[in-house]
Amino acid sequence: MAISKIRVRFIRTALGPIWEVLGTLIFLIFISVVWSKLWKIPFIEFFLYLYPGFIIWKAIYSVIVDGTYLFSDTYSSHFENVKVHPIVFCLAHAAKNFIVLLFSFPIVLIIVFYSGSLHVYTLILIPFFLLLFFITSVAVTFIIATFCLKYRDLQFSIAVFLSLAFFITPVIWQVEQLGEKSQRFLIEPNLIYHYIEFFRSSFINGNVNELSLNIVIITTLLTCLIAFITYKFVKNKLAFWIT
Amino acid sequence: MIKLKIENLELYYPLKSIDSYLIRARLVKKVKNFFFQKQESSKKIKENQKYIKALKNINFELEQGDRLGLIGLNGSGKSTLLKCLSNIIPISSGNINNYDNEFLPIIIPQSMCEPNDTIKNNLILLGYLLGFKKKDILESIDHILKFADLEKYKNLPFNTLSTGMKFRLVFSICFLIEGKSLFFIDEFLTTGDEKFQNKGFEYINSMTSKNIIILCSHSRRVIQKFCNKLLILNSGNQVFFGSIGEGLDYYDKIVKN
Repeated sequence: MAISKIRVRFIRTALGPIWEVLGTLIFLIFISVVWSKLWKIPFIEFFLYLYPGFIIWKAIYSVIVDGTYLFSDTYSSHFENVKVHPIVFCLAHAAKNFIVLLFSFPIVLIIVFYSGSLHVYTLILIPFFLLLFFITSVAVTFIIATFCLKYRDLQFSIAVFLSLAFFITPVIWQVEQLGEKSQRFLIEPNLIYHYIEFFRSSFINGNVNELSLNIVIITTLLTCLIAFITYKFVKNKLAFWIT
Repeated sequence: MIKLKIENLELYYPLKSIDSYLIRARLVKKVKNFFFQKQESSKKIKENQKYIKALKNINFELEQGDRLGLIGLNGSGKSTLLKCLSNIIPISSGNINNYDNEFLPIIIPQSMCEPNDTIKNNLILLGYLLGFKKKDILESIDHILKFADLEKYKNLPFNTLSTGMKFRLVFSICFLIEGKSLFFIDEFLTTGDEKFQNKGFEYINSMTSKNIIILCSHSRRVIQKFCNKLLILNSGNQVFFGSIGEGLDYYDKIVKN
């Protein structure tokens, strides 16, 4: 299902999935040219910071926003036709976004390699991060898809909330640009930031700060637990909410 | 020996208003209740929830080779019963004793296809979704496309097919891949042109000695031609289960009333 969705997504583009990578790359190069000048940071340093952060943000956004109508729209006809465990659709959705994220990896590796900041630990941390990210994606997709099926107006609120989250999460701007006090209130409670920081820092520095590492691990476990409890409560109700 | 036995099957279907699907409406109600001191206990709220008895008193038994026709007026619960038998909708009480688990619900399978993906890819995807094994699907691709007379279209997008062609493809996927012995078919065989319908019926007839088929239809012609038993539903109640001739006479009385 995941491969079919990706195939359909790129079926009418001449370059296929490469277009996804090139489009993002060109967009981020333009942003980096302007913003590196605004903040007086060398272009390559800013681009190296922006690219991994942005692609992981894009993946998070897609997992959440597309997840809001996964059961109520994308796979609603499947629920009416066959008995398939709902987690299968969540796995397909998470896998689709995961594969799209992987398309960008060669670019990140090339940039990191040429800037001379490729670390041995990066090669250990990134697979570990990807594993945690995939598990969280599946669990979060299930939770969001279920709640948005039950409450159909929730999907609009989530999209608005995520647009706001983009501006308060350090994707384009850097954490150090905030004061220490603001960091404690704006950055530390922001779960999305910790996922971005884990990914970005693994690439750029070959290490991750302890707080982000712990929060990502705990969040992964917690989302799995919440998804499991949600499933226990709704497993006999989902069919009635869809039909 | 394949056997299907249904005992006292009942289904309570929750009736929900549009407001119950809106978190905004729920919050407004809670705030109103809070300020106007009209707090209802959660038990009372549950009691106030409306249900309809969508299916009641369903009892029948089928054996290998049986072809059951399911007939009833609109809203009598035919499709709902098929969904219950396929585990798509969980039943409220009763038993579904399915002595061979390899069943196939055929409701609107084409709605699960990817309109922009190729016919061949959709064939594989639909095969997976319907629960066939990978090996069996891959082995049957050429046979399916040949039977559906769609070999030359296999690399075209699914949405280029006409409704009838889609029916031919889906029919061939459902019946030509090995591995299923119970078929629950909802109004499906009555679409498509007469030529393929006859070809399809002929094919199904050749394989029915090994299977059980339940066919939901409004068409007397299809039921008379294809089924050997009839079950009549009226407002969710099973009002008749028996032979075709007797059953259709009974159904006439329901229609006239």
